Amino acid sequence: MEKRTILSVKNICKSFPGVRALNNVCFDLQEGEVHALLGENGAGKSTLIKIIFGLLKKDSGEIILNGKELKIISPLKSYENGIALIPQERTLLMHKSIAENIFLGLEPMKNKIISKTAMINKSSELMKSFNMNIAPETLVSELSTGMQQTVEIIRAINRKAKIVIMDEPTGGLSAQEVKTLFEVIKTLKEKNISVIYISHRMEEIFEISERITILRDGENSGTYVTQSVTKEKVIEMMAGKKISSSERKEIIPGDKVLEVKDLSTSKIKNINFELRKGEILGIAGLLGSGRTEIFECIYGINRNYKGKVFINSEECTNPSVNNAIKHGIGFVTEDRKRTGLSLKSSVAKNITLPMKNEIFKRGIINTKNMKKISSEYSEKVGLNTKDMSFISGNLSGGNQQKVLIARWMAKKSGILLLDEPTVGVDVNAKQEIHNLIRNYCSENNAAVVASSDFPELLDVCSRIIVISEGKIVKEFENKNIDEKILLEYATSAGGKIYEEN
Amino acid sequence: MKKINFFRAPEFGVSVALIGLFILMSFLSPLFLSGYNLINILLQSSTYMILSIGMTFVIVTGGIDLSVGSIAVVSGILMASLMKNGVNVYLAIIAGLIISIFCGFINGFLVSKISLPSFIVTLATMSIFQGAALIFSGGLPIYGFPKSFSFLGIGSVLSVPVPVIIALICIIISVFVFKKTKIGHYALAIGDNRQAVKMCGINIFKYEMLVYMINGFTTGIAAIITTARLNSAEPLGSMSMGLDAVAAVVMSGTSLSGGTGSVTGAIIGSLLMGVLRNGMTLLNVQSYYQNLIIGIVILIAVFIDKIRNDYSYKK
Repeated sequence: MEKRTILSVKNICKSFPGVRALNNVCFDLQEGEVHALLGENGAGKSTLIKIIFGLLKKDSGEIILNGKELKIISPLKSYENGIALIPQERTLLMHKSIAENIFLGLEPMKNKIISKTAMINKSSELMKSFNMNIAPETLVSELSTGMQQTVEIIRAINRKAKIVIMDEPTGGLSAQEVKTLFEVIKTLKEKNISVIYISHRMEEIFEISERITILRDGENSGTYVTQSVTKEKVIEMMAGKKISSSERKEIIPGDKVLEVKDLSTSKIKNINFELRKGEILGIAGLLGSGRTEIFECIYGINRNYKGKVFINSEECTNPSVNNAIKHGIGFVTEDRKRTGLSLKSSVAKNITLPMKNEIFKRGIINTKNMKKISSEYSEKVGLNTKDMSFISGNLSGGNQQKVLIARWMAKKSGILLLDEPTVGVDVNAKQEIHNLIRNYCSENNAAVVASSDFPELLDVCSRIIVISEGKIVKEFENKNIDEKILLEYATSAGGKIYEEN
Repeated sequence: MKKINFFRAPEFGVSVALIGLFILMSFLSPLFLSGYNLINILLQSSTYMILSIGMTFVIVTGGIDLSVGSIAVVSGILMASLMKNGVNVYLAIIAGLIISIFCGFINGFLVSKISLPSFIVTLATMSIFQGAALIFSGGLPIYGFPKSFSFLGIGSVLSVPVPVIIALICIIISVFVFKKTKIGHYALAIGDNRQAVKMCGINIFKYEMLVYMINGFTTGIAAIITTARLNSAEPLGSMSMGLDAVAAVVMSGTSLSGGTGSVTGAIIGSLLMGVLRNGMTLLNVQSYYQNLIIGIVILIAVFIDKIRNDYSYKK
């Protein structure tokens, strides 16, 4: 049976000064459908949904909802029309309860007083339909990221939303939470609500969506029924060209540069591994498995650990960030915006931030050196700007990540610690970053890459250890293994499943 | 050649306001453009310029210092009482500067080491410092100083008033320190992203302390000038001094959340306030109205800056 089209977007054009963001883009959404919107960073996905939701004005084209053209579009109108946007960042009141959040702006009144009982009863009803079995009085700040997202979705449903737009909904969610989210999306489908789903993660899109629309450089690149296409085809449509993955070279590991012995904290137990020159070691683990914790110990952020860390066969007796950097360790953190980049500062400043004597002479900055060093390394990592005074916050995610990698390359760190190096980065930039790490390590350096993106680890690493609940459960040479095996071990609850058998 | 886009420079808004006001005033009052009056404007702005320098360092780290007025009072009272008790003028000045740097140290320590919010810390120390000055002085002003001290407030060299010369020296040094040394470089970085700076192995505590101590130091210098000019140290001295300095800094496009800003901008901001006060006095605007107008001008300057920001982000 042909489903009814609820929303159709026709020939939308939008220009920003100097850039044509959207050019005659068309898109349609059927009732009860999950429609994935795909494209690289800058392809126009965000612009399109912002136009649909009314955060931006279109230059031309029309948006038709239920057969009627929408003349005036604003976020307020969109809510009235039953369109809700679930943005990447949470928009909940953290210190209010779930019920209060769900009913924000629509508080049920009884004699001009907010009726808490009505609010709580209705919330609990809605929450039950989404399998959320906690008290509606719970404060939102006590919930996990995934649950907060569900609350946000429930709020949209409570506002009678017929179309829910989700912008990168799985960023920052654990594997378990992603599963729950998919359950929620299925519930939405049952309620005949349509979902526009934006994501970079190919696996998810193939699991959850019915149709895929791909944008490239602000133009339609195609709409397909998900089952009728392959991942390779989709990637090709997004990039407009085949992405070549440079062959993994056989490496002969050199001297031991990093050794971790019986490392334990409250979150990790007896972690042992070593890293040799030229090697790229992968740490496969899900969110909360303890991978970041290991890095924090090596980097000297967490000093209260048991066990020993050896850098270049020398024991770290006084762990601190400063000492770690001195011994040639560079840490690219998971959250580039929070712990990585100074967003308001220039590219040059960000690349040279950990430098001391290289750019300072008796406490005075040598601007020339700063420029020279940053130009050299930003070229090496293939940054898309040559202007070293460019403000880092205006770079795309992939380029921001390259700046951070350039930082440690410029500092000549022989050991790179990379935590989720390509999170929120488009396919092309991802490949470039992988090549970058590989090339750097082939120049007598070494790296440890921690990731929950297992195909990534299979792509770059020579050896992979899997951790689960703070314990190493398995070590693999990267030969003849696949994602499934890694996932199986990563979800083995600290190896308990295997111990039982 | 490096292109400088004036419109996108953070100092754009306040510069336009300053130039506009300058032109307007020269039409409205024939006395405005006289050499005497221009020197007078610089003289009146000198303390604000000096105060806004230290405040810029604090604000770019994402902090604020409301206790500036009180630090000036403490420093002024100490200098005055030392001189009254026959201590050498130079020793008294050095003592005054040391106490103001120490006050800055206390602020910096509480903000950086104990991690308390700077707004609350300096709100408290504002009261503490003034209380200390009141107790020490018994609430009475101290006046009448040696000539060599008064010279710093009312003297002049080659018909340029000494406070203007002091301000100029402070500006030159601080622009250099802000642009060319680790202190300015890291102060901006700390305000931009504290966590990122920490991850680069930079000693945040050290630089944050330095920043508050610099603010203490510039406040001490401003205290010398005001005490010498008034020939009196008042334990109930002007509390709004700090807020005026904050206003001068913020007007120049320095964000209170830190990470952006410059000393030059703060100087232009202080000059704008100086021109405004001077102009209103020339035009015989009543002092009550003066406050009202200054508030409106601050809003306009910040508004221009917001438009500039929105524009450059859209690009």
